[in-house]
Parts: sequence; C-alpha cells; structure tokens
Amino acid sequence: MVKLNHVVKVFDDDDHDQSHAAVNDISLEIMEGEFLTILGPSGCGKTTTLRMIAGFEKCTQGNIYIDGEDVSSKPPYERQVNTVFQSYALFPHMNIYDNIAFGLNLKKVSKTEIDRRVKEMLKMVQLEGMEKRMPDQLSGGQKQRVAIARAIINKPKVLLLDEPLGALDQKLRKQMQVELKHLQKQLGITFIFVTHDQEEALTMSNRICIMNNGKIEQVGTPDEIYERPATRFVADFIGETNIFEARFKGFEKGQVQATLEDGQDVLLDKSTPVGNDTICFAIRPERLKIKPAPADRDSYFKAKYKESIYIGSTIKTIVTLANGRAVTVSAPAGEAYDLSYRSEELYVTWNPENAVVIKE
Amino acid sequence: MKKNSKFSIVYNFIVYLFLYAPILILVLFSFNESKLNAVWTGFSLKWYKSLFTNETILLALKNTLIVAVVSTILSVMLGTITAVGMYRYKFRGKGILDAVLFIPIVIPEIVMGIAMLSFFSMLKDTFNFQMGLFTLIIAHVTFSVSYVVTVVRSRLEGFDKHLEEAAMDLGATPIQTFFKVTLPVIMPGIVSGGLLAFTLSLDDVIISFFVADAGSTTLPLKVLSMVKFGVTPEINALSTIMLLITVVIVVLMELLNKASVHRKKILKFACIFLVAIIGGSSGLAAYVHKGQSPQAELNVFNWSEYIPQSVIDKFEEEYNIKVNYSTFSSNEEMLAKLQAGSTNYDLVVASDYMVETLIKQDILQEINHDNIPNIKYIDPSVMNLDFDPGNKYSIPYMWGDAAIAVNTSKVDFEITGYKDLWNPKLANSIVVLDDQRAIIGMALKKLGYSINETDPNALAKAEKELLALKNNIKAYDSDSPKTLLINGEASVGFVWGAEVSLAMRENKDLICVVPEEGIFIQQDNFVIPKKSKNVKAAELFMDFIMRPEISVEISKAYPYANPNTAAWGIMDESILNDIAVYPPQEAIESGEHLKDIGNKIDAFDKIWSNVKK
Amino acid sequence: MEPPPGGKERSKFSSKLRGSLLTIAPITLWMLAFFIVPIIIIIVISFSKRTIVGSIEYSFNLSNYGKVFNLNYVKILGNSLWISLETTLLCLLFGYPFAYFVARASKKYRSILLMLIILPFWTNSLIRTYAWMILLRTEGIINTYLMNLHIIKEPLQMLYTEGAVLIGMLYTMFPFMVLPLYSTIEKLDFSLLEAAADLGANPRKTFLKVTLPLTKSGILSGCLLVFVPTLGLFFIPDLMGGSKIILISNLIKNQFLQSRNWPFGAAMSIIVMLLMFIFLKLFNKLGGSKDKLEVM
Repeated sequence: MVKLNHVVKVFDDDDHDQSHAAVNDISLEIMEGEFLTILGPSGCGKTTTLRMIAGFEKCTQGNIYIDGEDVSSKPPYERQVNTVFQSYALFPHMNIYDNIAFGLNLKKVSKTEIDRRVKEMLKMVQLEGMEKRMPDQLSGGQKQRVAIARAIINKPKVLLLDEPLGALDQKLRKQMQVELKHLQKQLGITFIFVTHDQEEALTMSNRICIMNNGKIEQVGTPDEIYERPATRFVADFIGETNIFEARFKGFEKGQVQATLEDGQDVLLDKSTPVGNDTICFAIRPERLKIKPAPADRDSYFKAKYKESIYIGSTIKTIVTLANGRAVTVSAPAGEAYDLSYRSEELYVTWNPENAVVIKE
Repeated sequence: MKKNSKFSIVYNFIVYLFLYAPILILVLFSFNESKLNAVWTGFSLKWYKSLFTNETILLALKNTLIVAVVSTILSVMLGTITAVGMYRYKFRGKGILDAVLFIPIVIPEIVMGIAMLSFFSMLKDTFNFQMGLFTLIIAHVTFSVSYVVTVVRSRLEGFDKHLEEAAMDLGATPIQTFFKVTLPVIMPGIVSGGLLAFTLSLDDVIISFFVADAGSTTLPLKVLSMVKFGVTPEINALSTIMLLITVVIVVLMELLNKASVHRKKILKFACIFLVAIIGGSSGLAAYVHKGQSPQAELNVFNWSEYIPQSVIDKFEEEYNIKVNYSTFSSNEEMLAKLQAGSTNYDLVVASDYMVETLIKQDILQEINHDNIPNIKYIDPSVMNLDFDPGNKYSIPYMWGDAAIAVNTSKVDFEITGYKDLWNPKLANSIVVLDDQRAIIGMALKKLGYSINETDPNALAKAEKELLALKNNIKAYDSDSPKTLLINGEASVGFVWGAEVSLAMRENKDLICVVPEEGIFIQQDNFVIPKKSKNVKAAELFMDFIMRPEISVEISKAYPYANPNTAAWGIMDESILNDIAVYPPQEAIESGEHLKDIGNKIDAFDKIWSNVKK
Repeated sequence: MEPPPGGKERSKFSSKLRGSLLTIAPITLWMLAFFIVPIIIIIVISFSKRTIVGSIEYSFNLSNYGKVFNLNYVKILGNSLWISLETTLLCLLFGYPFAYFVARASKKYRSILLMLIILPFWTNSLIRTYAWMILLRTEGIINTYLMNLHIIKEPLQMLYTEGAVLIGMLYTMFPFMVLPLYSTIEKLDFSLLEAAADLGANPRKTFLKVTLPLTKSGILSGCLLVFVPTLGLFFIPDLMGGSKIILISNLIKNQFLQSRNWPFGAAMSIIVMLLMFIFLKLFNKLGGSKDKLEVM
C-alpha cells in the first residue's frame, strides 16, 4: 500500500542541523491492512518519515508511492492519507461535531450524509452525545478519540499516527492501545504508527520498523525483532539483553567454542557463523538460568553473585564475570532461588539455541 | 500565594483612589446643576441635553468615529497580514522591519505629528488634496499599525502549527486553511488589536492636533479647545460619554480574552454596539443640522471669542453656506497656520501690523468694495490707515485696546498704570496675554519707549523688566484670559479690553484701568487670502457682519470697539460708556498701533523665550 | 528514480518568496511612504534656513543646531529631561509596590483589579488631565471644600505650577509603568522567594537579591514607556502649567504654530529623536528587550 523508495531528507533551514540527513536513504514497503509501527529513539527520523508520507515535508531524494501512485510531489490535501497528531490539533474554535465533519465539509458531502457518518464515528469512539462540546472542555483521552474520529471518517487509505498516546497517563495509555488495535482490525485500513515506546510497539503491531540515525535497522514482526535482533542496536533497544563479544576458539562436541572476555570458554550453537574472529551474540536475561550445576545440554559460564532486584512479577539478579562485567538474569518471582548460592560461584546457563548472533 | 498584608491593601486602595477620584468627580459634576465645577448644587441633565444639540460637537464626534473606524479597519488588515508574514517567513531585513515597527510605539508623538505635518504640507499642492479626514486617517493608521502587529504576533506565537497541517491533512488547500482555521483561531488577537487601534485613534490628541484642519476637528481636539475656554460642565458630560465608550470597549476585550464559548455572541454585540454609536451620532448630527445639505463651504479663520455662534448660525441658515470656523489666539499663530497652508482659508481676520506683513508676503488678494455695500456704515476714522492705504486688501472689523483689569476685593492698593504690575504684592496673581508684541511692548511703554521700539539697548532693558515681572505672572493666556479673572485665579489682568468688559459682567469686584503710560490699540480687519476658494461667500459674510443688527449682536457678546456707525444707534448705552470697550478720547489719541518690524522680530523671539522659560 | 533536483527546490523557493512578498510588501511601502519619508523631510528641514517671512529656504546650514545649544534652550531641554525623569521615578516608586500587591492578590480579585488598572490606560489622557484641573483650580473642588471647612483661609495655589505639571504627567503615565511591571512580577516564581528565605535571606535581602533582578525587564520596559513619551506631551504643561512652564514639547509646537520657525523646530525634534535612540540603546544595554514590552 505504501512504498518508500530510497528516501532521503536533508533539512535546509536554520532550525535544523544541515550536516547530516534526518532520513538517510530508507526503503520500506507497508502492506495493505497492516499495523506497522516505526520505532526508535528521539531524533532517529521516524517522525520525519511519517511527515513525508503525510506530505508535510518534501523528500530531498527518493519517491513515495501510495496505492501504486507516486505522490512525492503532491501536497497533503491531495493525498488520501490522514494524520492523528501527537497534540491532537483539534480546531479550538469548532465544536466536536464540526471538527469531525471538517474533512467531509470540504468535500461538499451532503448534510444528511455528514450527520449520519459523524454520529457513526462518535459511536465508534464512544463519544456519543458530545457533539456540541468544545475541545477545551474535553479530557486528554477524549480529545484523542476525537482526533481519531476526525481522521478516519474520511476513509483514508492509510492512517498515520504520530505518537498519539504520548500525553496520556499509564492506565489510559494501555487502554487506548487495546482500543486502537481493535479499531484497526475493525476498519481494516493500514495504520502507520510512530512511537518511541517499545512496549507499545510490541503490543500493537503486525510489524515493527526500527530506525536509528536516519536509517532502518530492522523490519520484522514483534517476535522476530525481539527474539532475533539483527543488529546490536536493535538488541539493545528492544527489551533488556546481555551482549557478549567472544573470540572464536574452535569446535568442540559438535558445537562452536569461543572465549569470553574473562577467559572462560563457552559453547555456542553449531549454526553460529564463524567467518570472523569475533563472535558477537546476545542473550535475553529471561533466557538465562542460574543453577548450582549445569545440565548436559546447557551452555554455561561461571559468575559471582552481586545483587537481586525485586520488580514485582520478576526478580532480576545481577552477577559478575571474573573481569567485573555484569550480566543480568531475570526470572519470575515464583521460581525462588536458593539463597545459599549467594556467596558462591554460580553457574549461569542457557539453551544454546537462545543465543542470537548479531551484526555490529 | 501569601495573602496580602493590611498595609498592602490600604496602599493599593489609596492608589486606586488616586487613579479614579478625579475621573469620578468629573463624571459626578457632569450631572451638576451649577455652571461652576466646584460646588454641588443639584442634579441636572442639562449639560447632556445641550451636548446633543451642539452641532460642532456632534460634527466632531462624527469625524472622530469615521476616522477611528476607517483607520482601524486599515490598520487591522495591514497589521494582520504583516504579522502573519513575519511569523511565517524568514527574510533578510526582518530585523530592520522589526525595529521600524517598534519606533512608533516609543517615539514622542509630537515628533510624528510635525513630521506628518511637514510631509502633508509639502505634498498637498503638488497632488492637490486638502488636509482633513484623509490625512488624519493616514496618520492614525501609521501610528496604530505597529500596535496591531505586536498584538497579533504575540497571539501567533501561541498558535499550534499542527492545526494548519491538520487542516491540510484533511483536505484543505492553503487558502481554505487560512480562512477556515488560521484566521478564526487568531481572531481574538485580531479583534484585540482592532480595539486597541480604535481606542488609540479615538483618544489621539497630539498627532491629530497637527494634522487636522478646520473642517475635520476630532472630539479630543474639540475637548482641548473647550478646556482652554473651560467654563461649562458640557465638557464633563462629553468626557463622561467618551469614558463610557472606552469602558464598554475594555470590558468587551476582557470578555473576548476569557470566554471561548460565547465568543460569537460577544463579537456580535461589539459590532452592534459600534454600528449603534456611529449611526446614532451621524443621525443626531444630521438632525441638528436640519437636514439641509449646504451648497458651498466657507472657511473662516478668526481670533477666538470674536464672533458668536449665533451669528454664524444665522448666516448659515440664510445663505445655506456651511461655515467652517476656526480660531487662533495670536497674529503670529494665524500667520504660521496660514503659511503652513493646511487649510485654504477664505476669510481671515488680521490685526493692523499683521495686514502689513501679509501684504508684503503677497498672501492677500484685493477686495472689491462694490460687493460689500454695507461698508458704507464703517466709521471713516478707521478707514484708510497706514498699514493698508485705500483699504485695498482689508475691511475693518473691530478694534480695541489692551487694558488692566483689577479685582478690587483682592488688591488693596491703587493701580493706575503698567508700573503697578511690578508691585511685589501682586506675586503670582497676574494673568497676561500670551502675545510677545503686547507684553514686550508693555514693558517698553513702561520704560517710556514706543511700543514699536527696536533699539537693542531699549529691548535689553525691557527684557530685564520682564524678567523682574515673572514672579508676579500667574499665567499667560490669550485664549480666554477672562476665565481666570472671573474665577479668581488671577486678581489682576493685562488683557484685551473686551475681555475685561466681559469679566466685569460676571465678577462685580472687577474694574477696568486704562494705563496712564499709554495704551496700544489694535485694529482688526477682514482679509481674503489669494488661495481662497470661495470669494463670493467671503464677501457675503463680510457684508452680513456689517449689518447693523448683526454688528450689535456681536458687540453684545464680545464688546470690542465697534466701528459700525449704524450699530451705535441701536447699541446698548452701557457698552458705549464702558471704558474697557471704548477708551477715553485722550487715551485713543495718545495710543499706539503695532507696526510690522520685519526681521527685528528675531530679537523679540529671543526675549520672549528667555522670559517664558 | 530521482526527481530533477532543480524542479522541486525552485518551486518551493518561489512560492515562499511570493508569500513573503505578498505579506510584507504592503507594510513596507506604507511605513516607507508615511513614516520614513516624513522623518527624512524633517531631517532635511532641520538643516534648512528660515526666511524672514517664516517660510523655508532650502540651503544647507547648521545654524538651527547651533541655536539649540544656546543656553536658554539647553535649559529648557534640561528642565524637560528633569521633569520626565522625575515622572518616571515617581511612577516607579509608587507603581512597583502597587503592581506587586496586585500580582500577589488572590486569583478571583486579580482580573478585576487588573481591569481597573487597564481602564485609565485606555481613557483619553486629555480628559484625565482636565479632571485634575477642576480639582486643583483656585476655585476648584479641593480649594472650595478646604475653604468651606475652614481648614485654609486663602485658596491654595495648585494649578499653573511645576508641581501641577508633574502631577499631570504622573497621572497620565502611571498605567504605562504599572502594566509592564505587573506583567513581569506576575510571572515571578514565588517559590524562588521562599527558597531565598529558606536559605537565610531576610525580606529586604530577598527583595534586593532576588525579586528586583528578576523583575528587571518590567522595570526597564516601564521606564522606557514613561520617559520617552513624556518628552512629547505638550498639552499637559500647556493646561496644567498655564503656558508658564515651557518644556521641549511646547517649544517645538510653538516653532511650528507660532514662531513659524520650522527649521528650528525640526532641529529640536531631531534632537529629541536622537535622545530617544540613546535611551533605547541604554535600555537594550541594561538588558531590556522589546519582546517583553507587552502592555496590551
């Protein structure tokens, strides 16, 4: 449905840094009906990308296609996309009804038709009866829904959402995440969602596109992104992880053997690529298990106990390697650890399949 | 927020009192029965009634409103576009524009006033326009547009950029976006700016003073001239109404800033209010003017308090000619204004020596005596004088002298001449004419010189004398010095004889003293400037004035010495016998006329400014 | 597939240019024609000569400026500056506590109190001056009541004095000082004062070291908005001083309407303008910024 082809954006005014591109050659394809989230830290270019799709910024290079049509030179009011802004951008001088009907009024749709569709929208976002209210009389969550209603009433091909939940409190946020997801399923239109909150991305998306410094790091399903991060950045950015750099040593027991930074040898899965001298791999804390002794199939290394942090549903245990480097292990609070292991050397074990090799 | 201590509450209360007491008293006394703004004698609406029938005031109101509305609309349009442009775009020279727009806000208004005056006088002949509502509007727009830009810009700062994007996102083109979203959202700022511009225009005194002409007096200018002649509480009534208009505007502004829901209703009310006052005042003005639209206009320039309004009204009614009557209070002021050329006066009154000057400067045209048959009534002894042999350029109007008025209840010694004015007992009690020739001349006469003496030594001595007199002078006033004599501010006055006479009518403690050193006599005359556009009307006016019954009416109101022989027959005996009006024969014979002294006037200028500072 | 690099950039450039031209050109032309040009004319006139009859002869000379440095006129200028300075300081002295207390008042009263300050600001200064005249006259209200109550035997001489002019100026300009002051004081974070107290500063020290510096911009704005305009208010010395008190504003007005010496009047106006620029420079140097001049 939406295709970005080698898109570059360099800002040429005084407000922006002109020495490097905000968006540096990205190509992305978003399928019809999918919920795609563009995720990344502040300044990575995600909002700029979204704005280029909307038409508020022109691409310095590259093209954007919507439903097969090259819209690169089209102004926003000629594109069949609609945007939900972070600040909602509700027209303060119009009531809710007129806000929602704005797009339809421009298209000169008949009064009766507008009335029917606005009422339908209000029902959909659960704001029935609020037509005559003014924006400054609404709460944040209500404004949010009006913004959404205003956008989708126009039946756009693509809905763009620019960190729409950023200003809401935790509980409301979670609630809205669920509602948005349901809405998307219900309407069936393509949602492109921008956020810096990874949990949000993981919860709501069909696919996630991770951006950093103007470039795309990885595109994939939440599962792929989480379990098999392609780059160090993604591994680091999504969830917590332990990243190790080990030197290739040789083969043992049919598996790859490598030396950790503190000199210990560990066994890695036989599918580990050994082209380079250094093997960089990551293991999620929840895939690590502290045991008194390693089981037969486990990869493991020895470490010293440092501290435990109680987080409610999980307990995080920090252990250190011989060179002082910390490793995080996490387990559900229900699986209690025997405290007698505290001062001893512990065995940190994992299933070799769960170590993910990442590119730098 | 700490609660305020008692001290702070008391302090603020006193300051508010200071701020409001004068205004409240002003308003209160507008309902006062008594003519004097001093003691409350009872409730009355008569001043408001007379206000509504005073044609000149209604005219001034109409002018003021026209100028205010038009200049506001222009400044708002100009200012809003500018503000939007400056907000949206970056361009070279933005800083300069910023600075240029800032200056009208801080600059002393007098500088702007004279700049515009000079500008318009230079252009008016080339481009053939007259100073008037047109120039007023331009001047008002120039100083208020800066304020509009500032207000709208600060409103734009808080404008959510995303609103415009949202509109375009929903399908609106840039123009549709501007009118459907941008404009409505910044509308409160625009309206605030508009109200500000409106009020600035309504209240402007200083700049209008320089840029308005005879026919385009604004309300503040009218108030200024009324205050100078300040006697009746009509001014209070007028001020109260103006204050009321301002209050409504301020309240409207406050409401607009606060309420978002009722905004449309408030705007509607504001517009209705505005239309109401404009409609109301124009209607009243038209009604009072008795609905006839005049065929022609006559611009008359005369001394203040020299022709009563009743005479002007009679002339207007009989001939259906609109008279734009403006006044001055000294010959020099008249000459300056004539030269500035802001109005093309048709008929001007000038004193003897000034006629000489005007003739020399080739400002006057010859008068055809055949068109003014009533000239036959004029006393031959005032015709054919030195300054205009054969009366080619001037027709005598009235004459008079300057005499000394003494309030016998306040002065306990006898005053017989100028010399007595220097008596230390009269410290800070004398009102004198604001007229350099008269006062310096008086000092010269005291020293025994002629009033037209130009010898530097003599002048130096005169200057010394005047510096010594300074302590006794309370005020310089040529507009209406009798006011100070009547209300007791001054116990002695050296003023025009007619002023003395009028003062004596109102305050029985006053007497008139003809100075023994010798009086100076001033012969005032009608002249017609070359630039006159309506000579016919001017001739009709002069002829009208010289009708015996009209002449008498004038003398009754302003008892200057009247050379109209036919009038003498019908005039009141008491006036004819009043030495304030008709000095004794010996005094006339020993009296002097002022003469034109050419460029020696510079010396007089220097002395005058030295004396007055 | 890349778009031709020139195309998009060019159209963007020209539409921006068109936009800025459309919005900025009108005001530029207007100010040029009706503001800049008149001032240039005044400058030209100030270098011209006055003919005997009082019109203008355009021969370049500096005599007018020379004349200004004549002791008499310097005295007048000095006097005017002094009165303006007095007015400014008095406005500041009385206005600061006033603005402070209003800014500290409870929310529900504040908007009314503020409106009560704004109201006089918007009313005609001429009317307000006249109001004082009827109070101060020899047979005006104050004197009449004092006499009737036998507090004084002779009427007090209040009008037509320099004091009266000062009161007139003070009264007219007071709101111009209070509003900017209020604006800055209101934005003051009062927890800063509490922090100072917490750290051991007594009220006086707190005021000098915290409040005053933080409200500096309001003070500067107020002073600018009072000092400069008072130089041009001729009708106050005219009405309250009875033509006895001559300030630079009256002098200039007289040159144009009485003495017919336009070149001299123009020269003095230019001097006043130069003074204004000097004070603006001073204002900037001391840290004032025109963005903080919000009086509306």
